[in-house]
Amino acid sequence: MRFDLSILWPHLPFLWKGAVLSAEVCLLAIIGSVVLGALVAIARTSSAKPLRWLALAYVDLFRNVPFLVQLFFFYYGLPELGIYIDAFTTGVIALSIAGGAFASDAIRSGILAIEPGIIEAAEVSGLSRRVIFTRIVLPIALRTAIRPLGAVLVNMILTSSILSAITLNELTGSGRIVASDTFRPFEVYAVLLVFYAALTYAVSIAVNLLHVRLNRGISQDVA
Amino acid sequence: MDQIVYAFPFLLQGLWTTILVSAIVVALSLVIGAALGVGLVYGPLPVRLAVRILSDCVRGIPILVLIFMVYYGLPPLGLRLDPFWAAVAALTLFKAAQVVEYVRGAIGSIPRGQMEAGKAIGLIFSDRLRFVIFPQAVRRFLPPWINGVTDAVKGSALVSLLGVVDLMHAINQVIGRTYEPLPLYLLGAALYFAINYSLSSFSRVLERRYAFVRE
Repeated sequence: MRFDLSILWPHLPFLWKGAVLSAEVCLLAIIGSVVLGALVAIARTSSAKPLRWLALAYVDLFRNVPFLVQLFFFYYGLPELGIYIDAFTTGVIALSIAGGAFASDAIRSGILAIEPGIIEAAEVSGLSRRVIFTRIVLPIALRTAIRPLGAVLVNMILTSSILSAITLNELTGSGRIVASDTFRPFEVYAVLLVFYAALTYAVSIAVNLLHVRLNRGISQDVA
Repeated sequence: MDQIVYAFPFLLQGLWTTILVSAIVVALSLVIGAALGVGLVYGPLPVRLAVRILSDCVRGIPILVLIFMVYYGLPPLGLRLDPFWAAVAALTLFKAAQVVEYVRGAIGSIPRGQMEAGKAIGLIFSDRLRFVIFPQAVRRFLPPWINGVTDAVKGSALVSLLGVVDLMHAINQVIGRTYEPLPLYLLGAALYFAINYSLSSFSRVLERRYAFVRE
């Protein structure tokens, strides 16, 4: 059989809609992940033992359970408790929670990499603990963590394809529909492969540029 | 609860499939990934370039799409795999790309002088790898690789979407009968967690043990 991409022309708008949905989910979920990851990173570096322990349990739990299990738990499991959430929101929540576990590690190592002298200087200047954290520690930590956070985002784009399993027709879900409509699965999935590879490649380049921009003026071995 | 006890042997069968898929994927990807990894470090330019592109592309593709590609996309080209092997093939490709990076990192961490010293005492290339580079590199390779095995176990849950009855699929089938998703998903999560947590803990122990390997 012939490899014929023109067969996909009429379906491009549909695939595009799927891609936009993927992008929306990922964008919301990366914001959720970074916020959650920052909170968990604070908990993991705090001096309260129960808090540290709880944060570590969260990270270990969500890193070691397949995303599909987490997703089905939220989508099919929670209604048993009377909690009904639609597929889009479930997807964003599940990706945020799973991504938060990875993001927290990135942000935590960013926090740990901060020179103690900087914090001591802030303490000596009489800044409150809250100000020190939000104005000094977190900005520096996020700046050093930008590359690992980019890896979390790339992973999230890849993982978001699994949302097609809970009837959310993002890019992969739309691709499945088009494949079964046109009976040309090879072309459809080839296009998806190229699209995802290009997208994640572009994202990692953008993250690198951002990293260089945010860390300008800092010697390379520190950044 | 009784129903879960009743379904337990069935779930164990699913768990066995999950372990089987993971084990085959891990073994195949280790062989393929190690060969490609050595090619990436020591091969001639075209080989290096090819492996680099392959590895970068595969790591930028969702495993699920890769699985669908192999299972639904290849039959029109005349390559028809059953769901089990299609999933194994896709997961192996994905995992091999990871192994390539671990191998590259591990070999790259060995000082150049080691290779040159091997040359100086007259070892041929394969002996230099076997007696000089690999014994040192393996200590750098093992911790991340064992940690990466958890990715194979987690990825294996996706074979359920092709209808292979692994742990995930077995759970879904039991839920289809008992209408009790919550405890069953918790049980599934606990089983996966037990496997993966022991793997990542083992990786951490090894990492600490091998921490003495420093330049």
